[in-house]
Amino acid sequence: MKGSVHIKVYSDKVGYDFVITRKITIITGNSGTGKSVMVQMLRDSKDETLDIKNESSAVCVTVNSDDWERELTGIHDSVVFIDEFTTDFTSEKFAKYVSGSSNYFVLITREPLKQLAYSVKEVYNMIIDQKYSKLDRVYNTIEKRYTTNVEAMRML
Amino acid sequence: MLHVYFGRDTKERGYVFNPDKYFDYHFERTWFENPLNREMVASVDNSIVKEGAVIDSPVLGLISPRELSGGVKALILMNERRDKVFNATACGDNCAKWILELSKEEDLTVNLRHIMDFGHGDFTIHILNGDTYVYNMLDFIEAADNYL
Repeated sequence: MKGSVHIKVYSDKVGYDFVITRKITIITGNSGTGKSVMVQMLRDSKDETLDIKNESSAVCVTVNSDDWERELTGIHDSVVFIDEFTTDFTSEKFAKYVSGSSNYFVLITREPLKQLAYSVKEVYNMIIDQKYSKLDRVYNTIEKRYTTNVEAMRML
Repeated sequence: MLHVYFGRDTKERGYVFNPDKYFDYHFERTWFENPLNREMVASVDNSIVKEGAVIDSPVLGLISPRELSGGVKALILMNERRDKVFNATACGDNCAKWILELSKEEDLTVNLRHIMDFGHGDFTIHILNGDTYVYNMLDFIEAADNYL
């Protein structure tokens, strides 16, 4: 997969709307900003009867157990979301898989992942997007963690 | 005092790697009668503990304790289960002031797998790895760099 991917998933109460541009994206930030809820929503959006809308521009996949190898077998050209503690993505084996994969990866963690080749520009904080604050639905988005340019922090 | 162990050998040392899941299996209703726990829920998750252990979230509506953030779950465990050492990398920087608060009156030991931001103020943290003490964020970063 190449280029940017628009991630948009929402329910009546909460939504997520942001763009990722590189193979590895790290999402971190304060507790209580909805990082884990986002992964749950992406997983639950597979069940259409739950009325969770996923309008992302690529297929989104979540890893839900510590057996990431089995879960990712046959997954190509997708965006793979992994929440912290779900599986060990600090291993060399995982790094090797990522390197040869056609998937994008969104990893939710605060740990430095020294074995993965990612840019600090692709480390983001999850935030509540104030531009949606007048709506009933709370929208979350991401902002670059390491920058001094306030204008560049706005993703959307 | 706050005692910090830096390292990824969390499970090998018998520390709780996943406080979020540990909380789900072990939390008690009475924990939510503790004013400090209620205050931490309000501060970190912007949510109000209602009757019993029902929690009112501004985003999710009425939720159970299992739906609290991993960070505030870890803080409550640090307060209620002093016999255990928890992985504080489950906590965002907005939990740091509460970790310092929890260690004011009683000793608290946590495991960190990343550099938590304890802010610009002075503090005393015992680094277990080298049995040293740090008193500000700059010293804390230098100590963490030796072990992470």
